[in-house]
Order: sequence, then C-alpha cells, then structure tokens
Amino acid sequence: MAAEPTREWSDEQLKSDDLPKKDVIKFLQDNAAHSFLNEHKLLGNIKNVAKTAKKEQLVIAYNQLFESKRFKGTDPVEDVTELVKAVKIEEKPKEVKAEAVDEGPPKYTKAVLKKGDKTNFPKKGDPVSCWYTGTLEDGTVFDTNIPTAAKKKKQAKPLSFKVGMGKVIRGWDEALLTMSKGETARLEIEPEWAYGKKGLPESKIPPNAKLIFEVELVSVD
Amino acid sequence: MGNMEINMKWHFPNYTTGNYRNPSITGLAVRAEEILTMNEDKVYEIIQRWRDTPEEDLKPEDYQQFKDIGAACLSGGDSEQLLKFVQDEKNQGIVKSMGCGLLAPLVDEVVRNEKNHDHCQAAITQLTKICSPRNLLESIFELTEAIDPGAISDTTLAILPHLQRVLLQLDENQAACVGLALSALQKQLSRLPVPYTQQQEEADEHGLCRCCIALAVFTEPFIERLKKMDEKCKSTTEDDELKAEILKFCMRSLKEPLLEAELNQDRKSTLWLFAVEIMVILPAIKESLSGLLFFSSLRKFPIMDTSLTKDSIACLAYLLFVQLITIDSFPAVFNPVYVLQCNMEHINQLLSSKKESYLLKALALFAKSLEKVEDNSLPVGLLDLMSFYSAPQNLRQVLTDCPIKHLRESGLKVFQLFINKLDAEGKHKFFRCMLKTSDHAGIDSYIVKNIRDQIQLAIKCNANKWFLGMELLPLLELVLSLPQGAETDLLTNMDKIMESLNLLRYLLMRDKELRSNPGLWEELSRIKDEYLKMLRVCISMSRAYYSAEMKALKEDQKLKAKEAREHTRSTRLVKAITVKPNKVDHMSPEVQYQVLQSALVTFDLMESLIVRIDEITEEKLGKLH
Repeated sequence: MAAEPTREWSDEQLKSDDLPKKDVIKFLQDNAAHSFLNEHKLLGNIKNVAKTAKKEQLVIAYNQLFESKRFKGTDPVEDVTELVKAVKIEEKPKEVKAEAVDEGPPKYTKAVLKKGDKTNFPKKGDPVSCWYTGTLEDGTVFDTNIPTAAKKKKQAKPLSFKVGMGKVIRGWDEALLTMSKGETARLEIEPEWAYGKKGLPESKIPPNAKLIFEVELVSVD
Repeated sequence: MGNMEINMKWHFPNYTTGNYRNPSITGLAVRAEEILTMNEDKVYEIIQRWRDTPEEDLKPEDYQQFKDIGAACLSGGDSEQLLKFVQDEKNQGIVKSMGCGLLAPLVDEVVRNEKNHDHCQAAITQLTKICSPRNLLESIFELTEAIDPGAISDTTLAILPHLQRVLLQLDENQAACVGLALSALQKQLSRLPVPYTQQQEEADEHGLCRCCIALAVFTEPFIERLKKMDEKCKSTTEDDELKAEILKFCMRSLKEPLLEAELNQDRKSTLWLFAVEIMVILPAIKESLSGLLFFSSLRKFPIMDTSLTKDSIACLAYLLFVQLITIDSFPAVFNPVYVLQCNMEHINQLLSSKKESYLLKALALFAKSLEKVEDNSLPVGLLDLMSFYSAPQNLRQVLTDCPIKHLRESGLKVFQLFINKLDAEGKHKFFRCMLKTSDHAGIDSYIVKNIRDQIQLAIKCNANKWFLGMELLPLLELVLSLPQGAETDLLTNMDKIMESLNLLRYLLMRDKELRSNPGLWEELSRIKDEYLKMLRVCISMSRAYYSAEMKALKEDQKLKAKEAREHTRSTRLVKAITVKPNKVDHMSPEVQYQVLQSALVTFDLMESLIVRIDEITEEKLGKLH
C-alpha cells in the first residue's frame, strides 16, 4: 500500500483564488479512491470536472479525503471494473446518437467494375443518368435499358432521375451516392432495399428476391 | 386520204380526222348528255378546249363544270368511263389542273356503291399521282369537314391510304399537314359512340374500332421516318414538329376513345390492340413512358391542351400499370411508394369525373398502386400532398353519391385498402380529417369501426401513442360528439351513433389497458359522460317528437275515416284536411306509421346500448373498490 499522501495546502491556501481548481482536482484524482471520487463527482476529464465543481466543494472534498483516509488502494478490487464503467458514464461523449439511425448495416454490396473519375459524386437531389442491367440470383435478366444492337445505343437514352429522393429502390439510392461519374459497379441488393415481400411479378421479380444490378453512372449534373 | 392527211397521221398519230373521236372524251360526253342534258358534241368541244387551255386561264366555271361532268358520269353508273378518262395520257393536263374536284364525288361513290369500288379507287389513286399534293390535301380536308355523319368510318377508311400517299409526297410542311390530317380525322371519329360491351365491340357497328387501327397503320411511315432521322443523330425542326404531331395524336387517342373503352387483357379486342399500338408508338418516337408518367415531360410541348393531356396521361398510367401493356419494357427500379405518389395525381384526375368508364379505371389504378406497398408503411407526410388529400375525398363522394352499385362496392374496398397502407400516425390524421369533413353518417360509422380496430390492434400487439396514448383523445372527441348537439337528427346519424356507442362499450371492457395511462382514462371518462348526457337529452326530445307525430297521424286517420262516412251520407263537398307537413308526406298512412314506429325502435336500441354502457361502468367501478 502506498504511503499516505501529504496534505499540501492549508484551508486558507485552498480557498485562495491563486490556487486553480484544476490543481486540486488533479491531486484528488491522483490520490483518492475511486469510490470517493465517484461520490464527490470528481471523476472524468479534469476540465469538465472544473466546470461543474465549485471551489467550496473541492475544499470540502480535499478535507474529507484526509479525514476519511480513503486514498487510492483502499477500495476493494472489484471496484476496478466499476472504475472503467464509471469513467465511461462520467465522460459523456458529445455524440450519443448511434451512427446507424435506421435498421443497421446497409442491405447491399458494391463491387467496382470500372473506376469513375472519383471527383464527381452525386448529392441527394442531383439528377443522374445510368445504363443498367438487372438480373435475379439465377441469372434471369429482368430489366435493362441497354439496347442490344450497338448502333442503337446512340439513339437510346440512359435512365435519368434525381438520386437520393426515394424515387428508386433504396439500394440504388444508397449505392449511387457512393459512386462517381463514369463508375461501373455491380450491386447486390437485399430484398428489404429492393421490392421486398411483394416483389414485382409483372416485371418478373418474385417475392423476397435479391437483385443484382450492373450500373454505369454516366452523368451527374 | 390526201397527202396532207397522211402526213398529219404520220407526225401526229392522235390527230383526228373527220369522224374519229377520242373514246375517253366521248364516253364522258355521252354520260354528260344523258344526265346533264348537255349536248354530247358540246361537251366534247368543251373538253377539247380544256385540253388546250393552260391552267392559269381556267375559270371557276370550268372547274365546276368538270366536277359536274365527272359526278354525272358516276351517278350514271359508269365509273369505268371516268377512270379511262382520268388515266388517258392526253387528259393529264386537265386532270392535273382540275382533277381534285373529282375527289369528293369519287369518295362518295366508293362509300355508297360497292359495285364500282375498284374503278373509283383506281381513279383516286391516279389523281393522287398527278395532282399537286397541296390541292389534293385541300380537297381532302374539305370533304372531311363535310363528312356525312352516317358514313364517318367508311369515308375515313376510303381516304386514309390515299391521304397517306399524298402526305408522303410532300417536300415541305409535311409535319404540319400530317398534324392537320390526324386532328381532322380524329375530330370526326370522336362523334362516333365508343362500344363498351364485348358484343358491341365485336359488332363495331359504327366502325370506330376499325378506324382506330387504320389510323395507327396510317402513322407508320411517318414514325419510320422519325426513326431513320434519329440514326443520323441530328434532328431538324421538321422532325421535332412531326414528333409533336404524332405525340398529339397519341394523347388524343388515349382520351378518345381509349379512356371510354372497356379494356380487358384476357380478351384482346380491337381497341385493346389499338391501345398496344399507341403504347408502342410512344417509345418509338423517343417519348419514354417514365418521362411522361413521372417526370411531366409533356411540359416540353406547350402546344398541348392541358385538360386533354391530364386525362390522356391518366389513361396511360392505367394501360401500363393495370392492363400491363408494355410493362416488360418499363424500368423495374422505381420505388413503389414513389409510383403510388405519381399515380395519385392520375387517380385523382379520373376520380373527379362522373363517367363510369373513368371511375372504373381510377379505382383499378388506385387498387393496383396501393397493393404494391407494404401495409402500415405510408408516412403521414404524404397526406400533405394535394393529390393524397383530394383522391380520398373524391372517393368518398363516389361512395355516397354514385348511383352505380358496383362502383360504390369497389370504391369501399379501395377506401379500406388506402387506410390499411397508412402508418399509425397517418391513419390517425386521416381519420381525424374524414370525421372533421364529414357529411355522411355511413362513412363516419365506417371510420369509427376502423378506429376501434386500430385500438384493438394497439392493445394486442402494436402499442402506439396514436391509438393507445394521449393522442387518442382528439380522435375520440370527434367520434363521441353530436354534430348539432341535442338537436341532432338521430335517424340520419344513426349509423355513426351506434358505432360510436359500440366503440365506447369496447373501451370500457378494455379499461385495464387504458387505465394504465391515468391522464388518458380521466379525459376519456369525461368525454364519455358528456356525450352520453347529451345523447340522452337528444333521444328523449326525438322520442317526444316522433310520438307526437304518431299520435297526430292516428288522429288524422280517425278524422278522415269519419269524414269519409259523412261524405257517403251527404253530397256536400268535404273540406280537405290539411295535415302538418312532415318528412313522410308522400307515403301512404300505413307506411308512414311504420316509419315512425321504426324510429322509436331505433331510439330504444340506442338507449339500451347506453344502459349497457352504464352497467359496465358500474361493474368496473365495483371491481376497483
């Protein structure tokens, strides 16, 4: 067990404005038992504690420490885990909100087949144009806007719409926001972010179908 | 023959000598003589003169005379002669200048007389090859305007191939002329009734179906031209104009006749095939369906009449999403909620109409679009959109006012489906809106029943603040209220009142779950007490009134019977007894009595329900203490 720390400051010195709160807090944190600090609300970042604790409280705590002799090492061993927990609680992080607000991990995967310019990324509400081919897991092509004859591609127009606005299936909205102009990617979209339980039978998409799209982001305006 | 004559014959083989006459002119002249009582020789002379007259020197009298001669020939039954005249090389000058005048009589003959069909068609074909396209078009438009209403389809079918040929010969202004032709013909076709039963369509008595298909065929070479132009990647203003005219044709067709037609994908009728043609033309002229339906791409064409286009686009949505025409080439990437949002505008457009064919399509499109979204998924924000507000209001009006039973029945199914798709907050807002804008007790009672179902669901598995929290109170205020206080007509509002009493009874039975929110329970009790108090007053007032009516009716009957006896005894005129006017004026006394009686029974029913509610309240209170 460590030797009892010495009492450095007198009452007068403690109350004086020359002694900054931070110093007192530091001493207390360095020398007091965890449970003591917890009770006196002295755990956590020194700056934060200094904001919330009044000088008078610190003086009282300082005196009480020496009276009760609850120095570091006087708490039972179990309290170590409590220490860890308590620190986390006291040190409230600024961003409490979880990152995934909705349902959790994204319900699609993207594999880049051809890199884009990595500069022009669409934002929500931007008009985009794409060539695409959609297939089911078994390989059936259920939709494409790429004409079969190569020369006809001159006449055909890519599909245009405003991205990120819920006009298309969620898998598309989310994926396209991560793509840059000129990029071609292979998207595998879970049914929850595609046509779900109902599917789209008239377009040959059965219920609970995972959809695979090869999408080329032609332009971003 | 002298030497001079022989020489003339050598150099001018057609030179007439003496009695030789050109047979084609002769034929014409003979007919003219017969019918117009013109001297055959005179006619011959006139025609010879015309041959030698340059076009600029021909006078209106000449044109009229030529037309009369031609018409006379036809009415004489000799179309063959006319054909010969027209085909004769020597007459080409005359035909070129004045031939257009023959168009109307020839078309008329084709329509009326099966016998001479071939000759006349051949003659018209010849005219289209020789006369100037501008003159021909003028004549065709004239005869279209003057079409005999009884022969609209026959005339249309007769001239379409010729019209096409003439238009294809045009070097300039082709697009504008194609547009004029299509609009003139469609204007005439719109006068024909649209068949709406299978039998009517198959019979095609007025020829509308045949003409529609013929019009689609008519447009084919122009669409091909547009396709070819596109390949060169540079479109001219002429091409753009042509595309606009074809697009106008499609839009007009979608409204008339397609919106009025009964289309059934199991039975691919002629009009169904016409619908397919239109749906194929649109992408062929590079108008994408998604552009037209979702992104208002028609705004690029300001020349279109917007009242027409709203109906047309609505029909397009119906054909694609309900009849599934060309759905396989429609992109399968759109969000079903977004599709519903876009379709709601079209649905609303059609629901505003009073026509059965429009309403049927509206309801089908509404149902189809709703079925594609998950239950309880539509966010409340959608109800702020004008179309999402108006469509259910229009639907409600169909439910209350439409005289056609099957429409009301389908409408009710769609109404419930719409409710099912809204999320909890959406349902709450919708119910509040419906009750606030209420004008029909039947609908109100339906809404109240839905509210009860939602509360039940909330209690069982899906607790939410809208149906099991403080938010329930504003809704209950609307349910448990009498619109005119104690003077509310209980009979017209019966459905709603009975349903609201049922709801009240249900809530009391489930008091355990509701009491867990003391603020809610307290307010609920207050609302209940006020409502029941008011209702009791209302019932007793109504009962008093109807009892008085019944008594007056009985008295009146007694008086009438007495006077009838007196009348048989005396010959004096009986003074008519005035009866206090009331609702049941036009019914016989017996029926009147029955109506009043059943009103009183209704009040008994309401009261017994209130009594039951009081009983339950007492029971529950007893259990608590």
